[in-house]
Amino acid sequence: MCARKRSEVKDVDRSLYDFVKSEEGYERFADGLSPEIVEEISAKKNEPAWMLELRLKSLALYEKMTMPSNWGPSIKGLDMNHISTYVTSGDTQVDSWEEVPEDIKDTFERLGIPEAERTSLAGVGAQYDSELVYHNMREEVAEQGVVYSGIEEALHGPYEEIIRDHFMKLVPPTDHKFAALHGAVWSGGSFVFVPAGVHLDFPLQSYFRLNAAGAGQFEHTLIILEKGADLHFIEGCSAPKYNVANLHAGCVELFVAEDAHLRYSTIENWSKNMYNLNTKRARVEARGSIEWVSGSFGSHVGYLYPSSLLMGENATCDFLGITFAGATQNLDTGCKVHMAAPNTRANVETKSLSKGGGISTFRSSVVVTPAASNARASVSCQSLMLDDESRSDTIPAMDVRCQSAQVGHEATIGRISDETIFYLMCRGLTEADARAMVVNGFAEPISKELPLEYAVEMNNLIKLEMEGAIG
Amino acid sequence: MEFKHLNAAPAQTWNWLAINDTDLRLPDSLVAFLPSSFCKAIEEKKETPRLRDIIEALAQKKNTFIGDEDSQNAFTVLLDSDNPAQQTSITVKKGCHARLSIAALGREIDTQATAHALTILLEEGSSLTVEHLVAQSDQQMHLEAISAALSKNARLLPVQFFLGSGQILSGMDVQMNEEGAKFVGSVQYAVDSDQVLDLTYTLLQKAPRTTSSLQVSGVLSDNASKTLRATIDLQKGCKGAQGTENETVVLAGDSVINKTLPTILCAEDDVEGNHGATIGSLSEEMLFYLASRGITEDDAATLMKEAILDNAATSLDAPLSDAALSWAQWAQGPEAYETASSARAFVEEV
Amino acid sequence: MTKNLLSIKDLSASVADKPILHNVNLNLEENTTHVLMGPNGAGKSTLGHVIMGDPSYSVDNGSITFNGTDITDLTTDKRSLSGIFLSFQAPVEIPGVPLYSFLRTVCGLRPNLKSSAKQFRKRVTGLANQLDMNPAHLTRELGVGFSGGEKKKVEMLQLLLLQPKLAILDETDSGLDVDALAVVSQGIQAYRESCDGTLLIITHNTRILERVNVDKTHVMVNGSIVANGDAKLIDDIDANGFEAWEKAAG
Repeated sequence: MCARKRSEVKDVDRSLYDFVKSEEGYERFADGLSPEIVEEISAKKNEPAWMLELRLKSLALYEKMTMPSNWGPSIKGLDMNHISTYVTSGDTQVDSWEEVPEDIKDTFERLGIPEAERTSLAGVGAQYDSELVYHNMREEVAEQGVVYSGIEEALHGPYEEIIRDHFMKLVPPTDHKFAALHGAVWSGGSFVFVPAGVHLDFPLQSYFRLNAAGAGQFEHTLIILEKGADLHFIEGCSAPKYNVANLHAGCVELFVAEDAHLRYSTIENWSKNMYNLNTKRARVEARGSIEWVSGSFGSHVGYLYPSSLLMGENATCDFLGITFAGATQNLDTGCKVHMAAPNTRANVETKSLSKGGGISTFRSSVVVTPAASNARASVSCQSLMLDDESRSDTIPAMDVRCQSAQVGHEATIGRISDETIFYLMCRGLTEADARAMVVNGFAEPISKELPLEYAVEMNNLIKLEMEGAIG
Repeated sequence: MEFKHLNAAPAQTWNWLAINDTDLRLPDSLVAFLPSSFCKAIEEKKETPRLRDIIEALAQKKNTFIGDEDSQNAFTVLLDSDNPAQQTSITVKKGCHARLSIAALGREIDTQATAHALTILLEEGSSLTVEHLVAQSDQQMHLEAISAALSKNARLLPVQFFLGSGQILSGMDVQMNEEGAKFVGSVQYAVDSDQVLDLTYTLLQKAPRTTSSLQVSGVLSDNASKTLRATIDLQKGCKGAQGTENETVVLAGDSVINKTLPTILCAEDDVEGNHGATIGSLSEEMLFYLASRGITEDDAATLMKEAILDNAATSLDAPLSDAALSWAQWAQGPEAYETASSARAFVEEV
Repeated sequence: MTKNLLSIKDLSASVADKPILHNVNLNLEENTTHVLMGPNGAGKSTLGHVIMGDPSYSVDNGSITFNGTDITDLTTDKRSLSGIFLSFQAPVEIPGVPLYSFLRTVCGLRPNLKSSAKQFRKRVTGLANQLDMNPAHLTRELGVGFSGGEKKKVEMLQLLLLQPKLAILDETDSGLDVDALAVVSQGIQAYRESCDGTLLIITHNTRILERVNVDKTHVMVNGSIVANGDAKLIDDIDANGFEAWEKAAG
């Protein structure tokens, strides 16, 4: 009997994302880290004194802190002495695409951002390397009191006080080494404020593009929803591939007040030279809800665990995540849920795929405190191995200290069965099509929750990954 | 003497969870048993010994058992105040079947701890049932380190009951080195008062068509604390392997702590790995069913605890089930003894 | 005139604010056999669960009186101990709890069923034999690893063990499983022979009733009782289905 050859899985065609623009005339700070560089960044932004103080304290913490030695992918290939923490085209942020410099505009047009803004978004922000180049929101949304602006711009206005009260309070610089680094050199990012009771019918979207080689992007996203507010926020990111390491250490802080609802969708598609050490955290008050929809496709090394602190009664968290680790990728993703109030609910559903020697690790924690009476949590993770060179690990931790809580967990790891492929081929599909169909079905619970254009993008990514000749 | 990072999980996670490993304070009465060379080596090298190293250093008695065609193949290790710390190695010869019973017993406080290090070697096609019972008082401590290596088609079948002890640290490493090796483990525990139960299972599936199945169930009440680290490691080359772990924990106390780290590591595609855990109060559906037969939520916890004793009395061999019954009488009174022994009589009957 | 064992008055119930039962009135006399029939989704199973006090449903109006006592606000376990039994399609799965231990606990809660360990063993093995159930299955975990027919046997065994005054057999799904159907018929007969109780059989499959002497038949459509009759009504339903009532109910 001759063994049937398996379809080969091609590396993703990244031409959509993989184009480089010239850095000529750009301002680029020296590589590495020093108090001088941090002071320079702060001075450039003309920041209030408290922010410079926070930056310098964070830098001191960064120097002291270490990466955990007992878990997580290696970041040996990342040498901070070869990372520039601040790169900018020098152009100021504008609110009309016409005024955006040609090169940069072309980048975002290729990524479909202005088109999406016209058709389906309430507002858009676009960051290019270290600075925002574009920020705009529909007038009728602004009239409702919604604020969506660059966070630095907001720091110079009436919201300084609010920002000061929230900035790095949920993710303190002491959280981990790269949170400290973020505190020291953060630049760019968005500030969103939705007043009590306001519901946005269309999402807001921020897109982050890192064009410069050997650079870091450290944007900060701060979203505050007042009581009963409702928002869908979308975040996208991409970068061209370089032979040197790039670093992304952003920070997302989400405050969801009583009865408010926030959905935070991300498609992370960094190039495969990226070290993505991103931190995202939401604090949810009574009856509020956070929904995360998270797709991780890019990066060389990823550490990403959006966390939800359910602090008020009946607060809820839904997390839907998919991770696709291909050749040269080591993606350590998952989520954290902290349940600290009665009747809180958490529902986690994740999928991961590994192929071409890629490593995908699902890591989670569910902590149920004694205060979380009748809390209900369910965690389900499914992993698909697309070949025998790859790895897929599932490391879920649970710490339950409440008698009336119920925590359920299930995990499965396997491959697409030969029977399934045979069945589909009996119905006339090629083996490659059969595999793609199964993988798309596997990803479907998550792609159906994404905004349309992102779902299309994700399906394309999967199709490209799965396309490949037999044998 | 303080020891750190014992009973560690092979794949670790956030340190703030304090779930990766455990610390142990060894009472002075036991430290006295440690050879001075061992203590010195620790001090000088600043090395952290593994749980097995500590137990082997403590062990006063060494047992060597061989299961072969000529003998009864039923062995017993009794850990009590006469022989509290022992080291056992057992080999089961090709195609033979053996049973090893380990009992860590005690009622009084004169022996503060029992400790046992076990090494298992299973030759081709052999099988070993390991019965392990810990039934002690709250003032006691039990340390157990089990390592097993399985050859082709060998089967290791541990049945463990942790009924009581102030503190239990138990680790089990199983290497399924050759094709068709199989591990089927059953673990049941009832932990109450201020007891601490710390369990680590590391199941390495290295060869094709190996199977592992670990079923854990238990009840926590009062201030009990339990940590379970269970890792199924589907290694490169284990095509056709299956690994399953399942845990059901009923929380029956306001101050209990339940930590679970159920890990599946996978470096093969043609495998099936599954894990399930149900932690906390019983589901609404279960509670309604039980209530429809007259059982309240409180009764349900009692039922679970009684069931564990019943299972110990019915599924363990005579010397160990006798020990479990007499422990039940001592710890929970004559009624507990009656119900569990009637369960045993029932099983014998059918 | 025989005495009412269970009497339901103007009962309305809902689940998650969705009304299911509307003004249900139903009387079950002592030592009689009743059948509750109706199309899928009529609310028959709901009625069984509401009689048993399932907390997933809320009673919005009306009352349930059992054996002369108003039980509308009683918890499920108390209703059970007072003599009501509800059979499930299958017992729940509780890993770690052998069926034997479960049955012992259940009997231990009822003063009239308390017996010596030996008597209890004799009784459960006897009932298992009566139901053609392998007594060794009593050492298995509750609900875990049983086939459809065996699960039904576990339910019927409890029915015969507990000897309830009122047994509600929710067999809405059993029609699909020939084995299960046979087990239920056997259970009903054995219950009839050994107890002076009342049976309420919930079904839409009349085959289950072939060997049962039915005293009264009740038809439920859209959450209301639309017809009451004797055993002949079953033949009528066999021939014509529920269409006429469904049309009338709109």
